[in-house]
Amino acid sequence: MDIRKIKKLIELLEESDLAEIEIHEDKESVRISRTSQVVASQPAMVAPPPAAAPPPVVVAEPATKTAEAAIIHGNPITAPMVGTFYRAAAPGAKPFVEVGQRVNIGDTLCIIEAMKMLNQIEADKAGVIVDVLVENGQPVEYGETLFTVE
Amino acid sequence: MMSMRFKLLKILSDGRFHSGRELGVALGVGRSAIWQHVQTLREYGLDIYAVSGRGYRLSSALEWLCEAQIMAAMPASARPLVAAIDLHLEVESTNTYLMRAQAQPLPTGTVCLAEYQSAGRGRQGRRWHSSFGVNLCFSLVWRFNCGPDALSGLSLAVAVAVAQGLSSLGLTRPELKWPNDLYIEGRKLAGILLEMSGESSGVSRVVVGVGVNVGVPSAIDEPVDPPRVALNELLSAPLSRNRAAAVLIGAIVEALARFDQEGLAPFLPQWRRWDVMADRLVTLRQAQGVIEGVARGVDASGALLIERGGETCRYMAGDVSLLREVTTPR
Repeated sequence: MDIRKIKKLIELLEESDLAEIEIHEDKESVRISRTSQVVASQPAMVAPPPAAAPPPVVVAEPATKTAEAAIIHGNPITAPMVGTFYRAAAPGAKPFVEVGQRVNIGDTLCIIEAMKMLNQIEADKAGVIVDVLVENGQPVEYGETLFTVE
Repeated sequence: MMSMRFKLLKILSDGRFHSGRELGVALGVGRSAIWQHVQTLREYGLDIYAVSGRGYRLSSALEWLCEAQIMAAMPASARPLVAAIDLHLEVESTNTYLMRAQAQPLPTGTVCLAEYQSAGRGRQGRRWHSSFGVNLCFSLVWRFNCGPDALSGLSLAVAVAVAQGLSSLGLTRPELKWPNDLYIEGRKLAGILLEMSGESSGVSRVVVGVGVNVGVPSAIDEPVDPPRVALNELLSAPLSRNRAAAVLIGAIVEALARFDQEGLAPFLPQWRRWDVMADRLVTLRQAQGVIEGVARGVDASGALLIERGGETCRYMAGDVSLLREVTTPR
């Protein structure tokens, strides 16, 4: 986990008019508030209880990613269909894109498969891949953010 | 310009003996060059006998694919839907060829056929190997005036079209395995792979790839799982590949045109008739794990329905396989 991402989030909050940002993803959530300290929590339902009160950086990675997608003016690239997300053409093959890579319009970013139909998702804008928000092989929903591009 | 090895194969494709000398004269090369080309042809899965004193012979006659024959054998209603037939002796894969060619957009209804694919593939990079001129592999391009989300059932519609084509070639009991595999008596006969990319105008370009086993597999073909079957093992008389191509391409282009107008709905009755999984105990393998339950057909979007513990859920992805028969129908 990159502590700079958390710092960036805090800076963003400070620059904005917002009092608090709370992000949920999967079993983890993070809340950053002006009034209190940075708080990290895990819902009791599914997640194993933290061994000790963890510092926010431990649990915040997915949440931070969502936060960047939601807050930063990077451009989200979203799923045009429901399906399974693949970063490469075949298991073990090189991913189509990596974080930090420059992409041009029309470059293939990933594949979403539904019912043996493979949909090549292409960049609709040029830029640098800031983040990859979905794990290889995971299901994605319609409209879910897959990448952010700056 | 046809390369020397394929010129040689043209001569051998009558399935009779040709002496090294005769072949050398016909092609203007020496006998050792002929031997080299024969070796290369064997790497394409071609079964060529070399008998001293008699020459070279292909184990059986080879029927070459031919654009004119395919168009002539196609139902008249389908012919106007085919923009062009682009026939190749050898390509990496017909799907890859059309996906790349889309940089310069090909018209809807362009068909690519190949006698041999050097890198034939299924989903997730799985290999699909086939000897030269034995099976049928082709792909076609179609554009739809909608986003990819509206096309989710297309995979099943194409499977129904292929099953209809096969039944008109004489196979009475095609078995469909969700989402789009074709089996006969539990052995795989055909596979379908759809690839899609969007256009900024909101049009979706789809490449439909189909592989059908036609000829009886030769010794060089790798053993495969699941077990496979070929049309010529099932039919009483050998099938012309050109006729099979015409019937299947015809069925698919008509299905694509219909899907564009009416969606999946008109295909569902046929799907249900040939659905080999319905009301049977199946496993569905997904990235998140394996689900076991009773297959209950598909919903209006083509998603697989699986019943577990009295509850039916729909699934959009995964590899489904049969466990055993269940005697309690819905």
